[in-house]
Amino acid sequence: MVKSKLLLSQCLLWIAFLSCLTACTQQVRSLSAADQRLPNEAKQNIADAEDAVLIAQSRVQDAQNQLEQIQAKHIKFQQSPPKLGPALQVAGQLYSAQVSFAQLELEYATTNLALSRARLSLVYAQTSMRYDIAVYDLAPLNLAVKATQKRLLKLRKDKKLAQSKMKEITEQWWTAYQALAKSSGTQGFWVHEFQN
Amino acid sequence: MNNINFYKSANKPKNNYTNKPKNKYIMLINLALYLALYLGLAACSSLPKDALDPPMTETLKQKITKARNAIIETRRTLARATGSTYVQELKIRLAELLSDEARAHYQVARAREGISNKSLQVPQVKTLKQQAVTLYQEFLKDYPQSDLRPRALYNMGQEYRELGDYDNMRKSFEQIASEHAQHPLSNEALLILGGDYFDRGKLDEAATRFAKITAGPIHKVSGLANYKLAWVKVNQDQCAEAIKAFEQGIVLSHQWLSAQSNSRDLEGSQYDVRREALVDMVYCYSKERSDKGAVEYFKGLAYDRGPLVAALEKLSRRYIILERNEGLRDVSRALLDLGPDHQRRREDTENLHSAIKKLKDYKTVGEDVARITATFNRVMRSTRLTPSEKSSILIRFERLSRDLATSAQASLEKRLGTKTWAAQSSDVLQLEHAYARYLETFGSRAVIKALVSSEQNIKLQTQLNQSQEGSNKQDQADKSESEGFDINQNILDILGNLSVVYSRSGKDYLAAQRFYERASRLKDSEGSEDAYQAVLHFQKALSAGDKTRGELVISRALLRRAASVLLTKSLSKEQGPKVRYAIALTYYEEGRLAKAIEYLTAVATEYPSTVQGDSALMLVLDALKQQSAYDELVNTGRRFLKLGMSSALKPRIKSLVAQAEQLALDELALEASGVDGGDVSAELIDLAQNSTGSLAERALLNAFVAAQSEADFEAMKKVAALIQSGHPKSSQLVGVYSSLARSAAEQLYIDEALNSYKQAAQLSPNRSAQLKAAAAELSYKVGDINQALTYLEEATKDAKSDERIFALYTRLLIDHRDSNQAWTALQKLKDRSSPSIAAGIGYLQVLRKSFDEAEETVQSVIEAGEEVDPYSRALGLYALAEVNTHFLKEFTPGDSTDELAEWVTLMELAEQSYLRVVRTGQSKWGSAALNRLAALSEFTSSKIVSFKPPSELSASNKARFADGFKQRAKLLQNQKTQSLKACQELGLLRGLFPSPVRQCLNKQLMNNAEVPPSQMTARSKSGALTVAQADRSALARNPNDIKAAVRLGQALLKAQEPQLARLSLAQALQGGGAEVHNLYGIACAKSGDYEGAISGFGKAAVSGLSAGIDNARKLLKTNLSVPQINELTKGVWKVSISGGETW
Repeated sequence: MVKSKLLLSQCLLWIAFLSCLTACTQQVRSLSAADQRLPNEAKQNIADAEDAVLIAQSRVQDAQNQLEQIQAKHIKFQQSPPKLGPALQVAGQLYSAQVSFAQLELEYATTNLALSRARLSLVYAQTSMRYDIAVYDLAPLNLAVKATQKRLLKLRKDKKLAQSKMKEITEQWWTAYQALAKSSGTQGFWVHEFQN
Repeated sequence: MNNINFYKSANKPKNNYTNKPKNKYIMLINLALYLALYLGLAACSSLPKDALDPPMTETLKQKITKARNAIIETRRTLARATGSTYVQELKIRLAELLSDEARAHYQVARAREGISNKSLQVPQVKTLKQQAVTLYQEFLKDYPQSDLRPRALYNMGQEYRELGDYDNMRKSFEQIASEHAQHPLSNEALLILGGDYFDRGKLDEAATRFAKITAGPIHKVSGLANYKLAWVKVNQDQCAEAIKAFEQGIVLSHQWLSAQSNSRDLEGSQYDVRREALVDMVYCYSKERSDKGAVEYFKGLAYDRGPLVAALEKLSRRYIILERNEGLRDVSRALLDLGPDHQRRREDTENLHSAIKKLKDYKTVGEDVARITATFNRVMRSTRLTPSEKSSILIRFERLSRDLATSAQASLEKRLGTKTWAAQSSDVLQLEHAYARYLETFGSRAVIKALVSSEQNIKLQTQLNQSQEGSNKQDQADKSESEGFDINQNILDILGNLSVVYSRSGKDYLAAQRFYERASRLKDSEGSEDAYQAVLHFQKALSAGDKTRGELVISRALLRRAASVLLTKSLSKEQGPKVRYAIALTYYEEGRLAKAIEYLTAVATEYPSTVQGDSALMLVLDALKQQSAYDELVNTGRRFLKLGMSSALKPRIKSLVAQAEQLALDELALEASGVDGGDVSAELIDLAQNSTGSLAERALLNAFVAAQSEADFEAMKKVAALIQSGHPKSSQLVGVYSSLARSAAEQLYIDEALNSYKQAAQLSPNRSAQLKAAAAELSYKVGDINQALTYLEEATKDAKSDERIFALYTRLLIDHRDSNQAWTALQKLKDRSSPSIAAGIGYLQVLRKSFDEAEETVQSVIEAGEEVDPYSRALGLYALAEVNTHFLKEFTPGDSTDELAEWVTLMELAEQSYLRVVRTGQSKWGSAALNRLAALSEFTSSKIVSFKPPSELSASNKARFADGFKQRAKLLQNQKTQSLKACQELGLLRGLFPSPVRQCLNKQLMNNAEVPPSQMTARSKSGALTVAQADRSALARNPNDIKAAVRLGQALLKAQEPQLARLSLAQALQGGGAEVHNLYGIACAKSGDYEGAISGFGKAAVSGLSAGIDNARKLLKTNLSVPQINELTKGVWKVSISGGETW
């Protein structure tokens, strides 16, 4: 008797645990923007949210490409440094700053994508609830959106700082370049740029 | 296993062959058998022998036998056929058979002796032929009229001819020609006769004979006759006639052949003289006719390419001999176009080259070089050529092509000069074509490689030959030819020439390509100038704007390649900026802005105040603008303004930088909008502090807007202060302070709000009145009636006050001040033509019993109609109703039906006037009107029964009159009751309890028009409010956030701020529900605003909230003098929602 009770309680505990797990990781089913059950306004909202995800994805791709390009240039610079004389150090700093900024851009784009996806889930859930298609707990979805948004805003600030720093180094670089032009010449720069 | 065991254990087999034979005979027999077997096998396995053809002699001998047999049989038949119709035919046939046999004998002898030039002695031939001749002679004698005579004569003639008896032959043939001129064999006879005369040199005779044939109808020998006639004329040196005869020969041959069913078989036969005539007429043609049109002429006559080529080849040789270069040129061209690949074509190329050079005619040099190179390509395809032969051919053809092209260029330069040439001039196009074909043919690496390897072969072969005795002449020739020949240099020269030609004719793209190609072929520094020219020309080509997409891509890529070659070398002062700018420009034009910006900036930095530097700078700024990188644009612009540029450019750059600053600011401000905007006010402030003038001001304004969108009041205050201090004359300050005030009011920073309104009003005299009115409204909302009225008084003094201000002022005075105070205040404004003021004054005049003035005063309210605000309208109508009532009461009708009727009319007018007030929906004045209507009804009901019927009426009418009035009195009483009830219901059913309603509830009729004013307790606390900050911010962002408003109201009530709570809860009333109304009631009650409180409680009570019911009853009973409220509301107010806060 005691044993069976213990077994029963264990079973119940497991059921409860699994239910919680399910609740915590609720999967929001997507809705189609052409779903006939929905009015036009709801369809528009869904379509807008989906568009935002696509745009965000495209921006991630752009950021990725940009980062790869800059990294390739940086590697080339490191492997065969150009003959820039005293301007070499500044050039190196500029490349490093560009790489850092590109990485930050990528992170920003990725976070933006995450935010778009979170918003999309929220739109699906809200629309489903509104039109009695499904039932969801909106609170965690809202939290997820807010948290990602907060992270995004922070990254924006970081970007601004990084941009400001890059601006400084860029000015230093062009000052050094100008000095180079007046002294030993800039052939090193041009040869390096157009070497295979 | 068993098997293995078996093998192991098996006995060795016996070797039978070690045993000796028992019998040696048996051995022999065996040997024989083997031999027989072998032979048999050999025989069986051998291949069958071929059946060989019999030897020619055997075949011919068989022919002889056949002929012989045929002759015998014919003779036998002839013997039997005497007198028959076919005997003549038989005789002719016999003679022919004899001739056939003779022929066969001859052929046998020939086959036996072999084909040689010496004549053969064959006696059988002579015998047989003579027999045949005899037969013919007999025939002719025996059958003088026979149809077969021509045949007999012809055959006889042939026999004589073959026998060498030419005299008889001639006789025979002449006889046919004369006696049987129409017979077909006559023409053949004439042909032979003509040929005979020709051979004997008797040309006229021959011509006569031939002419007879040609004059007749077309015949198989017509063409041949013309051909032979032509030759007669040739020999007679009559070339013109000869040409005609040759032409006729061709034409008639062709006609005759076309008519034959087996024309294919006949082509090339002796009757087909088309080819021979065409070729043979060349001599006369070249003598008689001009060079011009020769090729077309022969083309017109030739039936096929073969004869044409043969004729042209002959013509070519003639022209060489005659040194007629025009003809030679044309014929050589035709041969190169038409002729098969043959050794002669190489000669033709030489001829063409020679002719053109001598004529100095380079009009179609492109096509000519194309011919030469095409011939070269065809020749080189031959698999029979040795490497040295190939090399030799290459050298030869290369030289010819090059020489023609360069000579053409020299000629053109002499004629047109060396500056600019017309791009579409045919001479120029031809020259370009010539060079292009040359390069295409000889410029390929494969050709050069083949040449190099073949040169090596030549050298090797020459060495080998020299080591042996008797060196080969050809090898020597090849060697000497190839010595000094440098194809690479030649190609470079031609490339250079072509580049120059393209350049002169303005074809920059093509010139650039060739310059680039030349630079690529040259090593190291030698190619620099070409690379430079390539860059310049590509640049020019790109700027022309007429290139296809593909050409643009190629141009840019090649320009960069050419330039990159130059970059590794030290460039001159002139070249450096041009080359670098050109590279950078290609990226800009391709839209690769990031790279373009980098390189253009480098150019502009390195070469300031130059053409390239200035252009680069403008492009950098444009590229940054395209990317919307305004910050960077500003930085770059400023950097270059410091660095230096052309003076003409400076103002433009400054303007661009200023524009970019504005755009950067706008972008930053726009960032704040949208759902992920974030707070950019700090950045904007930063920007403002780093800027000056209008930009800084705009930045601060945008910062203010950004802070406002974030509902960050502190930031708004800070920015407003910055604007005030930095830009005190800013025209936007008024808006800033107004917005600040509104935002403060929304977040219940009352003092801040009032202060901001004040400041705004000070800054803007134009809007001072409105701003003060807004401040007054806010003061009123927090219960500070005095302050509100003070603001309004100031506002109304302003000439720019509007009706809204007057309406508010009037309302506050009427609602919260006694009639004397109100009168004093409103009198000052009586001349302002305001319906609201008029309504107020009219009402007060009524209270002062100045009914006539009142009537006049409220006319403007009536006239304004719906344009006046509802409160003022209701007030004015109420005043008018009172006036009407007064006039009614003042009017005592006399003894007259009319006057009585007038009295009734006045009564009804007064009643309607009150009802009009009710219909305005204004609860205060509506309820007052209902109460006063009840009072009026009471008065009129008692008055009406006191009227005596007019004396002028008859008795019955009088009675009826009295009855009617009694009835009317009852109705009026009823009206009184109904009015009171309606008035009560305003409260009981709608929860509205202004003073008149309360009197109605007490069943008290208002004995005058006055509705007493109400009071409120002003807010006593001051200073910063710290309660419920989050809810206040939320309300600032979204004023419709009901939940936030309610939470805030509750928090404020707890914090002993009932006035502010009232303000907050007022926002939540619409849509808030019974509980909100109840809370609002509590806040109003605590503020001393019992009118507001009862309105809140009343609505909550009507909704069924238990606390609302209790609170309403309590207030009405204790503070608002309705002691019977419980009884009145029993059964009306039913609890449907339990709970709520009690007051």
